[in-house]
Amino acid sequence: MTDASQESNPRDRLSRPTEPLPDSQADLSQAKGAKEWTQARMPEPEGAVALHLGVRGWGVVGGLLLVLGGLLPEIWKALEPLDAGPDWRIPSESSEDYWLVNRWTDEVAHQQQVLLVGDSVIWGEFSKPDETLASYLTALSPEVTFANGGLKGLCPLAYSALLSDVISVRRQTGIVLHFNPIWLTSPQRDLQENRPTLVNHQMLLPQLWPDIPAYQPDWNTRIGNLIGRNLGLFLWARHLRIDDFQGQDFQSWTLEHPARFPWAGIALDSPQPRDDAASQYRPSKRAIRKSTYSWVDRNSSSDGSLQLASFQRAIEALQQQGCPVFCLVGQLNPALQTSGSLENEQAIQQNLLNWLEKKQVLYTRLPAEPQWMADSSHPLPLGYRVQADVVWQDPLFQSWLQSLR
Amino acid sequence: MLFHTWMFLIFFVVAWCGYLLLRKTPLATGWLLAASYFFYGCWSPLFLLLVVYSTAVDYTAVWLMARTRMRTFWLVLSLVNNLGLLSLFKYADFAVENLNLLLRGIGLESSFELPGILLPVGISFYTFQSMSYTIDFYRGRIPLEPNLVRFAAYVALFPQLVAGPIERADSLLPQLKQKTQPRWADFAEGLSLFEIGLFKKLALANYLAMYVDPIYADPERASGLALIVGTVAFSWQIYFDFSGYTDMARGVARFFGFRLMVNFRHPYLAQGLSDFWSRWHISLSQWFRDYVYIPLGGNRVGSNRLAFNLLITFVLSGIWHGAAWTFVVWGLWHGLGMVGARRLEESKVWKHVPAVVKRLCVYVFVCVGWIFFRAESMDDVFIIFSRMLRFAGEIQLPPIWMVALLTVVWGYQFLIESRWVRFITQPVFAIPMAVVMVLYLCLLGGDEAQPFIYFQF
Repeated sequence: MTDASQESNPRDRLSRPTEPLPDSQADLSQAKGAKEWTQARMPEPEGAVALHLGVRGWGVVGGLLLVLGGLLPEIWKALEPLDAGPDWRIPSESSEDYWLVNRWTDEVAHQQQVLLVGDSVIWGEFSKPDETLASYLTALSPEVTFANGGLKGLCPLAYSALLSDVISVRRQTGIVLHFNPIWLTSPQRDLQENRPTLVNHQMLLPQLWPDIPAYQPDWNTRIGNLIGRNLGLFLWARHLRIDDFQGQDFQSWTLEHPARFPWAGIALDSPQPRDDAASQYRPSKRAIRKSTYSWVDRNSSSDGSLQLASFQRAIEALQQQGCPVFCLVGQLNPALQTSGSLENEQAIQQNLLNWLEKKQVLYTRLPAEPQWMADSSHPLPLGYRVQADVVWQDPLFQSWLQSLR
Repeated sequence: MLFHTWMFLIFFVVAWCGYLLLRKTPLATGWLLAASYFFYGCWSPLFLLLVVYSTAVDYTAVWLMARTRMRTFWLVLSLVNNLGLLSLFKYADFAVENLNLLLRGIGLESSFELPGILLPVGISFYTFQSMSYTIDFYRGRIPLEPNLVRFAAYVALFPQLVAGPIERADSLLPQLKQKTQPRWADFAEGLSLFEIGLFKKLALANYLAMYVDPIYADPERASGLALIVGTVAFSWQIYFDFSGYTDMARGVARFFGFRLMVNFRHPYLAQGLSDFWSRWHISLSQWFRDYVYIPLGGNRVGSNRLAFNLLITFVLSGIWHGAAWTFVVWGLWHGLGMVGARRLEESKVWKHVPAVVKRLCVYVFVCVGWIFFRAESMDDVFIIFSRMLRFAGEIQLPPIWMVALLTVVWGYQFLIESRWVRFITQPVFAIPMAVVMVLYLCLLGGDEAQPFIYFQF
């Protein structure tokens, strides 16, 4: 590109002037002769004149956008206080509000709390906010506070992006990463099936590599997701949508509320989780039918398990960043599985435990007793209390906690 | 690959950087052509063959025109080929459908199966652009283009390949020949054009579409008032959609140093129907003027013949837009309007009518025409008009934000055509405007990559 000290002539030399229909071919030549007259009288080309900025002007625009892009979300934080108490968890309707997740986990790090990361098992599907694993661990610990960083629907494939792009891992005091084996119970859950599947947290899934057969958006969506989760301004825009416009884009919201200006939708208060559990537990009166899961075995399948591999990558990434990480390896409700299925689960789990030991990652196996499980993977409040006791009494966990101090 | 997608951004960066590196070498035009073919091939690699075929035939026809005495023969061959392609891909279904109707009308049971041929994107645009080259050469207005690659790049230059502006050889080929050297000023101007176009498409056209589409999807359920408001909204939707595309196309071309023609000039500020057509889709209007209207005799003929010329030109323009009776009637509506407006605009009374009234009259006339353009079928047109005339019924109000946005944009257009243009083009005004538009797109713009309306033509 050659540098031009002078701006180009705003009068578009090569663009055609707009002439009224000339009378004939003879008129056409006349019209050509009248070109200069016409150009002088007619307004300048639309677009170029609607916004006519030179290089310096665009430089200023770029600078202003950089400043505003960084400032606006920060100003918003001051305007919209985050009222997160000790047992606060990301409200289920805000699960995909990564700006809120980032903001809250920053606060968690600032308060030297240990962050528990996982899916609805950590979040506490059948529990109130003060009946989750994090809240029971906090109750057991005299010094450390455990924050509930569970996000509903968060599969291990989304862990890497969550930990690299959303949560500022380096600021965290320590991260407890939960592994829920439910994601390995079928090729469909492992997103291995080559047909489009509805997946939560699509923005956090690997967009370019590894290839996920069940995740089939177009390339535009993939690139948009990659950019969207890395730019604070886009994450904040997403927060506004989820928090203020009921999850809709702004334009759809105005169509539903035609008489309201957009600022009427902005409440300037942080989303609050409901005090009750998201799902009510209703014990089944029918006889329990045991299932045989079609487990995805990392060793027997040629492709292995996408979810398990991603979980392992997330741990490696945490280790590389020097973030103290502890693993909670979950188990499924044994009462809902056939013995063959249970054996497969244990084999897979053993492989994972071997890998964790090889990587020198401390872990605890979470028990799963049928009497306090609500379904195949979610404990009831009593279950969380038992699990918290097990974790708390594990010397490995205690030594890990010691290492944080 | 739509302009307002991330994929296009990546494609553009690669194509632009490659061009900057090669711009002083003989490979520059070839690079542009390769990029353009890739761009088109992303839609359909198969239909890319059609672009190549059309290019090859027209280039050969002109080459033979230059070297043989059968100039008219080769011109006719080229025209038949281009119009044949258009007929086959665009009008075959329409023709068969009407033939079947005709057969049924005269009591024959037999009917032909619809060919069901897919419409290649942009075929109407690139065939017209290619045809203009052969006709202009035949008329002696332009010289033979010796370089096939350059001619192919002229036909397929990616910014304007799929929805115009329909460029002319005497404007674009010289630019390709001199191998444009993009300057920083072109970069800034390209960015300005692109941002305006992006805003028109994402913040305005797509937004309006969300209001218009449900109304026109089921006109039987919509009230008369809703249809009136919906039609007004559509008038702005199609304007922002198409002019937004054009602005983006011109902006992208400007990054490469090319200057494409202006295609829109605030058409809803027109004070007469001919004024409207000198502001709306200018490249197509001028194409029909130069290659249909003037060869028919233009307006240096008797009044009846003039009316005929206008009607023919506008009906053909309507058919160009789409293979449906609604487009034919839309063209006819404007043709009749031009015939009537010609007399009206010559009268003394019209000269004393305030400009605002003239603008309103033209706008209402154009809006009525948009009903034919937007309706799915002629049956829908009748339903819409009958419901509109009854007027009554419930209406889902357009969002107050949409109305406010349109008012601002409309007012802004007025300012641009007034002496205030000197103020609003100053950086003190333009810089905040650019910042606000980008932030608006990032924060509030919709994220669905809806295609442009004119891609279907």
